[in-house]
Amino acid sequence: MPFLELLWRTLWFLGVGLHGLLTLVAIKRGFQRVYPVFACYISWVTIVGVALLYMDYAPSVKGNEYFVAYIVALVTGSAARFAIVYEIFKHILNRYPALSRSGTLLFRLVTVALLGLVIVLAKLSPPAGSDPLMSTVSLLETTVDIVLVGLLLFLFAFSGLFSLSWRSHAFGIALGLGIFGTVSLSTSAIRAQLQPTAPNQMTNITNVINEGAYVICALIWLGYLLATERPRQTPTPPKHDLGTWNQELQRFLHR
Amino acid sequence: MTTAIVLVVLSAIVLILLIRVAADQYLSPKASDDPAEKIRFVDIEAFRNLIDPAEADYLRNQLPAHEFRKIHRERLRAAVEYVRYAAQNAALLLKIAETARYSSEPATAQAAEKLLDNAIRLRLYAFEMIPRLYVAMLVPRHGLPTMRVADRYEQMTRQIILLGVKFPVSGNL
Repeated sequence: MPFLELLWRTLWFLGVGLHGLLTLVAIKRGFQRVYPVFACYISWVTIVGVALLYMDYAPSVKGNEYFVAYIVALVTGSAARFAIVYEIFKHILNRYPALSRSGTLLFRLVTVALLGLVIVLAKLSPPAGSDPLMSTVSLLETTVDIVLVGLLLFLFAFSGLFSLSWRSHAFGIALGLGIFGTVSLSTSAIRAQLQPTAPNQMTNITNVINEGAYVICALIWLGYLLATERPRQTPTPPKHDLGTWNQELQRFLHR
Repeated sequence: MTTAIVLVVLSAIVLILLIRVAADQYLSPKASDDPAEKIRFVDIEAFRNLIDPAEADYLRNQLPAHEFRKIHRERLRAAVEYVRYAAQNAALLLKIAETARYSSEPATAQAAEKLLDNAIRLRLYAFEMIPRLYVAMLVPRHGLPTMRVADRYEQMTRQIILLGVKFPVSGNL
């Protein structure tokens, strides 16, 4: 077995194992009560990861059966990642009720704009490769990653614009997703372009990068899950000033 | 191949941005990062003058058309700067209130929550006003509806001045 193949297979095992550990830690810490979609996602990724590993090594499983399982994992995983981004956004908005309406509206507008963009890109991209099914899958992976990365960028830009602070868990989840999404976007774009018909050096390299990102993402989430949440430290003004400032602001807002 | 290269470059840029954001999130604030020291003073009288429709009408009547358009643009550009400073001050307020909302004293925490909410609204007003001012720069007649929010904005700048009194003020406009 070539070194690169051995490496990505090792990273694949490691990634699945880390997601399993992540699920256990998340459940033990009651994370499912605060971030239920994220908790479901990591559990699902673990189950699917184990199933795909088994199918890859079991001699009785045929190629097309593995392919169907891979597509199911891809579609459900992508849908769950979008749901996680929305869950994080809702968490941020819940802490800032003044932004609830405008924030939700903006999120929807950005999602529609990104969907429009990927539809146009998909229409414009020339057909590559000889297998139409593989072409479709590659295109689907690329478009899903573009929308995901776009939404995460919006999330960071939106909170930056309003100087909103993140709870460290929400930030960790978004950071992990962002790293995974950007790396996955690069590799899926390369694959969509080159369309290999059989495993080769290029597929091994992209697999190593993808599985590496999968492991890094799990490690980031694990680190944030194990860390205690703390608000950012900024100097505190004398407490009586807060009431005065707020009165002035209210005079302005309710005039 | 061009699409793939563009996507790879874009994802690399986003990845670098994410790593920088993550690093910033956990860098401990320096003494110079004290929000109170960054609050800017906004001259309310000057701002009122800049967005006063009567003042604009007076200038329109006194000056040749091309001269008026030039001066009108400059005045509104200055108004945009004032709004930007006020929005920056609101962002600083947010940071201060964010810390205070975790206070063990319920009264302080409650006051901070209210302040946080109002500071966000204030920033929303500012973001709404800036594009309107730019439109007014391009279409001088379009400026009038924008000026209707001037009274509200005046209150906001007063509030910022109050902050300037409470905290050491630097970087005056």
